[in-house]
Amino acid sequence: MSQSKEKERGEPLPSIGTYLRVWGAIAVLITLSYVIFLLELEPLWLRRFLFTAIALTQAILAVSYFMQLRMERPSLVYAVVLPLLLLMALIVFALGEGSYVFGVREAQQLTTPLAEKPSERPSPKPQDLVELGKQLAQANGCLACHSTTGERLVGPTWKGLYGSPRELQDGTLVTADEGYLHESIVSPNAKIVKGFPAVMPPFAHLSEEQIQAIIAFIKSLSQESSKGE
Amino acid sequence: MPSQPQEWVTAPLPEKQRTSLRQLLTDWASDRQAFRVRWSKAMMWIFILGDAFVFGSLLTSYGAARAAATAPWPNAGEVFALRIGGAQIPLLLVAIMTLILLSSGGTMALAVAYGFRHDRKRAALFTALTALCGVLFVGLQAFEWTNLIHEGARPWTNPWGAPQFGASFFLLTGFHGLHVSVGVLILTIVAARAARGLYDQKGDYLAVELAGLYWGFVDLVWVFLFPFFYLF
Repeated sequence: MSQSKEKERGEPLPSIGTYLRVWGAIAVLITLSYVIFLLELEPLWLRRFLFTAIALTQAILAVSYFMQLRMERPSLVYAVVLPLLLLMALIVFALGEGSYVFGVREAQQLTTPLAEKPSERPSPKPQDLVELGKQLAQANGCLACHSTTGERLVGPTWKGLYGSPRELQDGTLVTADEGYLHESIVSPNAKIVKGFPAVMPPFAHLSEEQIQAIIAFIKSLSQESSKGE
Repeated sequence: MPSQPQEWVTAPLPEKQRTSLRQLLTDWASDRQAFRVRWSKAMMWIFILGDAFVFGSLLTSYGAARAAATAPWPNAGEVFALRIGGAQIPLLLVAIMTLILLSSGGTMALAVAYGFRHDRKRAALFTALTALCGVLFVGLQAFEWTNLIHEGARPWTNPWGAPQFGASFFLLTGFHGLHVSVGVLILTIVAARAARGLYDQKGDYLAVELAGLYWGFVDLVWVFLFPFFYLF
């Protein structure tokens, strides 16, 4: 019965002993690569070359004996092996691309060291804060009464507001600094600018972060008009 | 033995034509079955080839991600170290897993070899042993995953270095572990069927051979995963 089976194949069946020998060889190769790892063989490129060479040897042994490929006819062998060689091209291109990206990232980190450094809790960049403030100002209806263009609406314009002197109803002069803007958002009627009606509702429901964002947006409208700061 | 269609059986070639290249040309140019094996075996090889490209692409993109990472790559020896009695042995768990999986490759090859010889008991026994090794391997891998997740490894971050490490680790070992799990399922079914004598009734142990091909491939993936992910 076993004889009739053997005739169907290109090569005779390997004996059980052959399998055991291949098995032992693979075990030795694994142990060898583990030992090389433990010894931290230098230089690194030699270690990696040995790992690759050992892996390829193991693979050839496993495919030829454990997967019986060496007993198959060449038509099957080449159909399996030749396409896999294409992977070599993929590996070369992908690793080349990887080291190129590495170079780009390193160059970027050298020019902008702060932006790339990981921090515990990244604070939003100034630009993001301004953008957030702009969105909040639109969403909360601020821009219905406060223009960003210098135009006079119900309330004073935000353009050039930050840092400018404000004359209040009682005639005193205050500077529109961060504290002033903060107060005017949370409790608008504390200080009324001369010539404007006291109609703005308090926006005390905004979170501190949201208020800071809106202030950052208002600030940005002054920096654009007077580049001095 | 019941009679079978003999089409797939290797046709003997004249003595002087028995070179590889000549055989290759004859098979592919003869307007017949090119592979001269059972269709299910040819299909298994085609599946394996496809799967090999999947793993090849995953491993390659891992290589690209690692080459492009600017943060230092985590030291696998420390990350996967196992503490035994106060001493830290680097990579010990993975080394044990590797030895188990590669041993299962040997038991599977023996199962296939005994299948060729129509040795029902031994074929079933070694297939079952292979499945057992597979279960052990997946169990140890689950242990390794649990450890790493407890220590803070996530696909997007980890406490040891480059964030690409987590994504690569979970994707590569996860996909391979999935293959091992499926293999265990297949091997269990095949072992039970072999033990019942189903393949003796059918007249061949092709199912054992096909399961062996699949398992050999799963084994082969680890042959590359182990050095390139853990040792490098």
